[in-house]
Amino acid sequence: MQDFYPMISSPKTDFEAFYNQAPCGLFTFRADGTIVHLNKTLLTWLCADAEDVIYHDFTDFLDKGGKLYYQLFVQPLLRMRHDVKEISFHMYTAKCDFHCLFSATAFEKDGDGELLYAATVYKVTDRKKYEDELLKKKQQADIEKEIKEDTLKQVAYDQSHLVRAPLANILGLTALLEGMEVSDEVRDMIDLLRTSAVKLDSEVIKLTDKLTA
Amino acid sequence: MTDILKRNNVRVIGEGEQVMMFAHGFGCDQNVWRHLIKVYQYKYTLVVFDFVGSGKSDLAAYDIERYSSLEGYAADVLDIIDALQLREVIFIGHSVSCMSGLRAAILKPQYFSKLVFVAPSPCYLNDGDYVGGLNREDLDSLFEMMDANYLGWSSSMAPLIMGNAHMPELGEELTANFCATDPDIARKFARVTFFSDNRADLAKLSVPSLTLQCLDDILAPVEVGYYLNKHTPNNTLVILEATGHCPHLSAHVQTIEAINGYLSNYSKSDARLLSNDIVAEDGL
Repeated sequence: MQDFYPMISSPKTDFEAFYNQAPCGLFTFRADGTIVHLNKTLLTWLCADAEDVIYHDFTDFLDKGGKLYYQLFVQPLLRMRHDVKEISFHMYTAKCDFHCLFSATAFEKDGDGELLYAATVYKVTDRKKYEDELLKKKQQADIEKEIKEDTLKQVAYDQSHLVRAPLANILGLTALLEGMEVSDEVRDMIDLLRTSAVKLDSEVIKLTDKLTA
Repeated sequence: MTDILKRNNVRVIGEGEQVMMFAHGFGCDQNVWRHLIKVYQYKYTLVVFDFVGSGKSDLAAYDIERYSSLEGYAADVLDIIDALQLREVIFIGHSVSCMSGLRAAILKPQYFSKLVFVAPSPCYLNDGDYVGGLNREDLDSLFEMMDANYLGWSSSMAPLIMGNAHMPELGEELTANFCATDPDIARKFARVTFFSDNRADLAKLSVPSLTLQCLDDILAPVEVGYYLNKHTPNNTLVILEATGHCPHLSAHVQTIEAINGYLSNYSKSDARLLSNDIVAEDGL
């Protein structure tokens, strides 16, 4: 039993082991980005030795887009709100790279009150692939939507200009025909022609209005 | 008529005859000016606002045509000055908003007394001998990051964020989201600002200006500060010993000291003396 429930245990050793073996990357950095310590998990993920990482700028392990994003969005949030959550980053070293979600919270260092940031990094290889798929589909849908809208606009333009112009001719000619002396049978046909042309014109207008709404 | 003050979520704070106007850069909103507001509210009347598409501005007022160039953002600045009937404004802009302020001051120089550029850049892209700091691929990579990070924005939150700054029950959610921006608008805003080239406009500025450049800023390297100082009439350059792109957040004491130094040293009589000087940060 004692093997499973050890009576004597050092909390310090347990915490250290947990810190180093945690299934996520853990590290602490200064306001200027300098990493002051990190756990073994993160070191393994980075395929690096401690001296390659400690006292280096955390953003040195991000790609250029990540660096710019950090400066524009993440750092202002850390300064103002003292925490950020679930930022998608791509971390890399010469040997390894991985996609991850980054969260950080500020805390005051004992003693001098310096502001430090405690950060977690979760590897998200599969989830990232899934997100990329979703994003790709969304972008594709956006492009298709734009094409569809452009096509509709073109159709609306065609309706209003290309279709209504000949219709106007038909209406004009019908009016001329009405002024002529013709048999009753032909007059009935001209009446039907006019009613149909007017009806067609109003349908075209309705359709154009719908397309441009 | 459009309610400009609501459209741009304009707040007027403090007292003092002299008006100071703050224009936030790309990313967050007027909250980034908090440290400067705390200090300046006792001496100046402060005007802070959110550009349309950012913070608690009216997202419905976002017009693709209007905001397809910096002119639209410059027009926002002039609209606010008109709506509040301000004159002789000290305009303080950060990042991309510096060039919106520059455009506004070229169009209506009588509205402004001084411009302060915090981490400005007239052109972000490298071009021949000109060092802007970024390549096309760098920006594409940034846009990819933006697409991968919605930063807590969701379409259901948008109506709550807009125009409800004073509803305490929304407080927690709102503060958690104040840097949240409609990703479609953010994407367009980014393209408009980062691809703009305002180098030819610098020479047209007649209002005196101060440039604050950080020593280590990947978005606007010091070379950009020297370029801007050289090509802008009546410009004073101060290099801040700060890293990053947001000295008003990361080194606000230095930033405030540099602005104070410029405002107290500068008067119309010694404009010639100070113009195009490069002042060491500790020399102020």
